[in-house]
Amino acid sequence: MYLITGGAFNGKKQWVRKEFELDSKPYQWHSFYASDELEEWKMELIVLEGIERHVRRLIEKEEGSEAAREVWKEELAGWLNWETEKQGRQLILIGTDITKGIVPANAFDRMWRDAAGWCFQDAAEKADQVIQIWYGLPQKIKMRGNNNNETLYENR
Amino acid sequence: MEKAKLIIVLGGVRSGKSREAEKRAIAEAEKLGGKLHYVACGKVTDEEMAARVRSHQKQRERAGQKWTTWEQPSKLSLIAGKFTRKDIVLIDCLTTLLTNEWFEDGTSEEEWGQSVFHEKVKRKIETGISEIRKSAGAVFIVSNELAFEPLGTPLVFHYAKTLGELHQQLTADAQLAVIVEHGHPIVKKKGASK
Repeated sequence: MYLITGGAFNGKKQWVRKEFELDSKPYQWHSFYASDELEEWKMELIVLEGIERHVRRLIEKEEGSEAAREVWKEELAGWLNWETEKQGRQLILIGTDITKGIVPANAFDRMWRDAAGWCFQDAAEKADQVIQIWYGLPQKIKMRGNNNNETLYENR
Repeated sequence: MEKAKLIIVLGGVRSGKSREAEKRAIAEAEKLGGKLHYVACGKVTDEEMAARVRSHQKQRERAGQKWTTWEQPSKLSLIAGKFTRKDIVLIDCLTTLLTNEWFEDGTSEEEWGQSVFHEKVKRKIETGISEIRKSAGAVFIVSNELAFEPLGTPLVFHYAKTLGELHQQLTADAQLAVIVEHGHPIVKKKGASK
């Protein structure tokens, strides 16, 4: 599983398209901005875009950020199972980082922001790679496996 | 025609991004044996803004270099012909330029949400920068990091989208892209560009 993150309008989607060569590969793309209902996964490569929006819907449904996080963790576990069930399967999560700005005036937005912070941490913990996109430029935050990239993660 | 080198310096508010850009511009001027030009995009509309301008002016004076200042809150194209290949041009900053271009022609609120309007504003800014790059020796652009928060009103959303897209284009074109965190520069891109 990959987690692709970064601020709003930083070119995350475009980077994923290019990096994973989606022009020449079959894939299934689900945008949580369009709908919260996931379709059945029929492809080997699945992209879920807008996970922060999904987290928002989970809070609404579960009526709280902690309950939302529990559901999120279960979802993540299910998705990881799907990935390991068959070789070659890959899941890419794209999420906008909404956790670094000014404290929102609205209480719901504050709760959403907190939940997004936790849920992104959970996703990052489970992900093989976490990549932050800054105006189209990638930076690896986390990298699992045997390569020589020097990242903050590996230097710890 | 070959375009001038492009350097983009981003950072949060009061992060030292202007100082970093000025430092690099001075080094470039010494290398090219050229002159320093400061394109100020901020409009002084109140005392708070006046204080910000004074603080930046003092900072440039302290550095002991001679800067030629151009007050250009919008329409960068108008000054593009004033530079030569030896000139170093520092544009400070893209966010104020975008704000000024955004509100310049008394556009209505309905227009703010339309992509044709965003494209027009973006093209105007990109053309201005591109024209300066055709005459100058090196161009430095300072801009503010985007908000990392739930984007509230439609105006904030569309403004952030337009600024984000400008940043993406500029980092793609730049030979050097730097983010300044609390006064410390972090190089995000160095070298190749299109």
